[in-house]
Amino acid sequence: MALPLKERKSFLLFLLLSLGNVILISMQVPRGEDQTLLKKAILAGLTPLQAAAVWTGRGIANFWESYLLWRDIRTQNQNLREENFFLRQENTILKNVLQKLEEEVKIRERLARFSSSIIVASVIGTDAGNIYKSLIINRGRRHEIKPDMVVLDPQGNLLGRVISPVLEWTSRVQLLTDETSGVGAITATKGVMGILRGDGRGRCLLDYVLLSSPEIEVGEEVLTSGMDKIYPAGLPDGRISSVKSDGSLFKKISVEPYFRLNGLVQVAVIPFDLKNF
Amino acid sequence: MRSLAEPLIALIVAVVLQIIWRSTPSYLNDLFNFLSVGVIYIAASRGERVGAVVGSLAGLIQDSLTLRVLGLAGLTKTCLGFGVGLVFRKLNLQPFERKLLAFTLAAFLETLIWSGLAFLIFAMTPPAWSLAFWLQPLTSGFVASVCFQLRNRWATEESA
Repeated sequence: MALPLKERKSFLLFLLLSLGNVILISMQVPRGEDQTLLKKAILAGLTPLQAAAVWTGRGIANFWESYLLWRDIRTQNQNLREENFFLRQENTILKNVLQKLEEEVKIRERLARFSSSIIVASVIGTDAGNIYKSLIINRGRRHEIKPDMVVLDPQGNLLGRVISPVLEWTSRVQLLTDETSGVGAITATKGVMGILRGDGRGRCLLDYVLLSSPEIEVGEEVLTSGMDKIYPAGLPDGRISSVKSDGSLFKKISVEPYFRLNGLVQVAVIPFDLKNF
Repeated sequence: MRSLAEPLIALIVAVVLQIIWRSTPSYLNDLFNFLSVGVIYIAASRGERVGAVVGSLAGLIQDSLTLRVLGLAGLTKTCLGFGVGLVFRKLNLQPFERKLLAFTLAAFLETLIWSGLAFLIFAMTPPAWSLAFWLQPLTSGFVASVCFQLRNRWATEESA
């Protein structure tokens, strides 16, 4: 049974559009993360709009908030929050530096340099498939963001790292909780090393810890080990939430990450190699 | 001109709502997909051709906003727009319950196709454990049905 001309045209249009999308997809297979020229062009055009829309939305929300709150209190609160943000970052680094037992003067110098070079970024988007995979922030190449830069939450806990694509005004942050992430980690008390990877559900797993390794207790802190050559040693990741054995050579260790994704608005990008800090 | 204005405005509104909704991470992020709502609404009101074109556009915008594989949502939303437009023209979906059922089913199929493609081609695991993710088709279907119902009421009042 032949279709009427109008319906045939509709089907043809549908097939053409589908084909166009399939071609687009196939251009990104198997290296789905790489950027094609077309992708770069489309992303470059759209992400500023995304940032602008978020900025406008938050601006309106802030205006309403300001209307309801006393202006002075709000300003004071904002200043304190900003100060607190930097202090927490400083505190994290201070712990690391103190461990190295460096001279006080040197520490002060380094801290001053550190504070002034942190890039504060706003979260403007979440992953379409799974919010525990990645975030989009409003800082990009223009702000000297590069892949593999370490990203911390406002409390100074490890959040993840910057991954491609880094665009002119925006970039993507791979979270610790992403299944494909991998961080060299060490437990703070027993010094047991492993690879921390996400489970895609908001938690992490500490892999490759042999059954014969020292006993790990629930509640023990997990830090970065620095062995992966991306993350510097000593950054707080989370706490052990359970230790089990499934009959394999390795322990099954769950880690509750410190960062809280719900309502996360601001993050800190560390624009230099903390290992040399 | 007016025939173009409605889908265009609906698409712009959907894009803005989607950007704002997903701008702050929340466990409820997956509950709404305003772009799917927009595509369903436009496809039902303008037919499969406009539905497919707007679906393709909305999908590509969704892919771009999340810096993910370009074309994945483009393809699924093209199917969504075309499917809804075609079914809406062929069947009598005027009662609210029928609309709700058809739109929810269409959005559910879209979610399934998206998840399948993402998993098979790019090994991206969809958040199958998330209740919000599975409720998304229902919320999309419901919001689109309500919007369509309001549009019909408004059109009836205007013609009267």
